Amino acid sequence: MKIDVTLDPALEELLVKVLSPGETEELAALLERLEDRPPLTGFRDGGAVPLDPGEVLRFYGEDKEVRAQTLDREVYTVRLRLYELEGRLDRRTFVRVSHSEIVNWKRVTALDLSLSGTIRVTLDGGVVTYVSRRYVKKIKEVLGI
Amino acid sequence: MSKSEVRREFLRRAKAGFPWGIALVYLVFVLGNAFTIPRPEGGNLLVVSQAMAEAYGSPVTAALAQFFWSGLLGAALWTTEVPFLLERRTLLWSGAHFLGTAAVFSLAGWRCRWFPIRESWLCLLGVLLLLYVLKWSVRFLEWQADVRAIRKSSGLEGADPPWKALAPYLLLAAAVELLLPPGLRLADARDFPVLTGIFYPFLVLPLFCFFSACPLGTRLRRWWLLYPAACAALTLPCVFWLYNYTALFQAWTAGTAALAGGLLGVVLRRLKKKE
Repeated sequence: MKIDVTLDPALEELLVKVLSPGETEELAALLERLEDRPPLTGFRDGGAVPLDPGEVLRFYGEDKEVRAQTLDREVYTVRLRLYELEGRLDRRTFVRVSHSEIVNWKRVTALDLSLSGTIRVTLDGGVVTYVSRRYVKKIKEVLGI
Repeated sequence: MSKSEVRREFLRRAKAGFPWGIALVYLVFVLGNAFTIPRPEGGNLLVVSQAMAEAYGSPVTAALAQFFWSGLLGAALWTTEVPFLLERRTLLWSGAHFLGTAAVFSLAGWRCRWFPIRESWLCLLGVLLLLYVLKWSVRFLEWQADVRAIRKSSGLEGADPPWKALAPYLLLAAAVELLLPPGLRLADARDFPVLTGIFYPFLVLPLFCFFSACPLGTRLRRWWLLYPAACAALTLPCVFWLYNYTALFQAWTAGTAALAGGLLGVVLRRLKKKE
């Protein structure tokens, strides 16, 4: 990564411009650091652990709470609403697939349509969830289709 | 959409459909009067069938009963889309909705004496079933296209092999060409089999083959040519089972209609590409 600093007295505040050949993981990590998002915290059994968004498979609503399921299949409670999470997470990675669920799209391994019209998403580790057909348009927008 | 939202939507659409059903049925009667030669006795406008007026004792009572039944039919037809709002078991609910609509249609037809002969009732019931099947197929193909686009964009897998795109069309063709003729034969009149003699080979078969081949011609290169051949071949079992060699023209009808539909699809694809 090359760093180029230009001093411009005409500027009123700090301006950061990032030039990238494409949407790479390095770019996403850099943007996350620049945006200085507060870390996500997962709660379980009275304890709290920092959650790495990249390790989270999905966030979903359950019993009026929001849960985060991680790669190692552990489930934590997140004290944020799904819409708040949507605002904090990378929109190109974390995609809302239904009213009550956000999926880490980088962890999707398969997408299937059943004869009855149900769209099934398989995540890393064989975790299965379902896409609401009402959210398909939104998913296509996020993916730039 | 939650179940309570779906229920509310069902009721909202049913309420909206009720007056439309009444308007539609009375419009059919008004148009029927307009084209009736000679004009009914006294030149009066008939809004119920003669048989129904006689059965109910008075045309006014009959008209009121028909008002209720046609409204109910309108409500049933207006809610056809509701099963598609459900995320799970859409096919099952859509099938259940068809059974409900068919029941309302049959009851309304029986109570209002709309069908003096059984064949006309069965024929319209067949058309209703065909509309449901077509609606489902169109929806399913749309969902399939969406899923394929998302898969491709997410790099989950390469493009589907052509046979996978062809398979649902072949299944639908098999259902129409292998199941519909025996079903119609059961409902057909013995003296003049209008359903299997005219309705199916000259109307349903060519229209189905043409309109189902069109999207295939748009989507598949060369592989769509298998479809007209399959459409022609699929007519053969019923030709020899229900008819005889004189009905072999059905194979040509199916093949030619599918070929024409596929070619139209190819033309549309090329036009789209030029744009």
